[in-house]
Amino acid sequence: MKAFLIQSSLFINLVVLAGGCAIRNYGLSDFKNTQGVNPGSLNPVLPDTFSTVLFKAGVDVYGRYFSGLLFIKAIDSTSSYRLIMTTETGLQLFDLELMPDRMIIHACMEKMNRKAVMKIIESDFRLLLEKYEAHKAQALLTDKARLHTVYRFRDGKKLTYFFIENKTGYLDRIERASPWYKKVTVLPEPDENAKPNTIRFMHHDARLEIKLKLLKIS
Amino acid sequence: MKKSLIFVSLTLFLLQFQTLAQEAFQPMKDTAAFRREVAMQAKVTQSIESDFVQEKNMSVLSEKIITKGHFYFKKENMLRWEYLDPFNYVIILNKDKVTIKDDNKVSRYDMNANKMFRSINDMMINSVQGNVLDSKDYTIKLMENQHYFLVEMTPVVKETKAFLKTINLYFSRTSYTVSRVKMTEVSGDYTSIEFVNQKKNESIPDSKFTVH
Repeated sequence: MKAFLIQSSLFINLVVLAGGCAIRNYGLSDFKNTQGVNPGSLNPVLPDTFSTVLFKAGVDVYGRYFSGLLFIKAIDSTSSYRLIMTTETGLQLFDLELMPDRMIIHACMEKMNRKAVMKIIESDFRLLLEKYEAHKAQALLTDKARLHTVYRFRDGKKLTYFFIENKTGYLDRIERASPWYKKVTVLPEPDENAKPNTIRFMHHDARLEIKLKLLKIS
Repeated sequence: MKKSLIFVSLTLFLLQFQTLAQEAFQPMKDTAAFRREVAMQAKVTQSIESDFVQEKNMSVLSEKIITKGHFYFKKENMLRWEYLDPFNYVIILNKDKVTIKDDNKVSRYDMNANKMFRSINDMMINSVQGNVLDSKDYTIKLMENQHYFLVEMTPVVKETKAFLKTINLYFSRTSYTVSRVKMTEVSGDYTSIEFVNQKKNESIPDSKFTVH
């Protein structure tokens, strides 16, 4: 009985703690409503019109590291993207097609073909590739220092934040969160020509970081 | 004028056809001599150094992914395979240790503890050295044309068969060294590696096979 009480108390503490990290304390406050926001894509990590892009990809997962080449091809007619990753020596690791409503696995190395792995890849690359229209944001917020305008999009329990730097108008980062905690931060580091020189996906709920370094874009 | 044009077109077509026919591979006539020569070359080769150009061809992409680098091989079982363009990446196989350096990130593996690395090691070293004709992991088909001897290797091991259809090794007819490797995946996509500026038996310091 005593053990049960301790466990219950711990559980309640955890719930309170998790509640403390909920959306309202995300460090953002209401800025203005979304009326009057100009329509347009909020996602300038990759240019709207790119046809193909080649990245050097590095994945840090629970202390292990592997890398390869990631090729993304836009398929105009269907708003889909083909994602192909190979090792540096040319061996294909996966070939995926990201469509607006689903993802097709054309090929995948057996060891990688796990539901959880595929889910992370799909979710991360949707953040990078899907178009978010500014005027469709559910809320417009700002951070405490008022350095960023933050567009919040809600899809069920899934929340996506776009942090736009007020000074430059550039995208500073994208964050994906549940109502209780931050899950992923996408950090683009553009070069002087605003090309996405490096893009980092930092996962907060797992020891996982994906780093993409731009090699070629057309 | 029209007749001349037809004649020129026909001649060009026939020349092209003749060139293609010359490029086509036929079954090797003297396989014993080839095996003997390759074994002899493998025996006398202490080191190889070469630039390489790697082309990745994927059916879904109209353009090839081209990477360039340099490799060093030294007996026994030491290989440095280094990509220099458009990124820096080094794989070092030294006896039973594998070291990978990706920019500034260094990862070390024990080859004996990892079946995949053992298989990659065997494939890379045997391909570079041409020491593959007695491999039990592949069935071998020997072919030739006027430029190359071709060793077509088809994997028999289940794990390798799952992702690799064939490995083709193109041996120079003059030096009996591997000039080109073509690895074809089950999907038909392939990676081709061309070796250029090859140097044999030149002194290579052991420090090339460590990462600092």
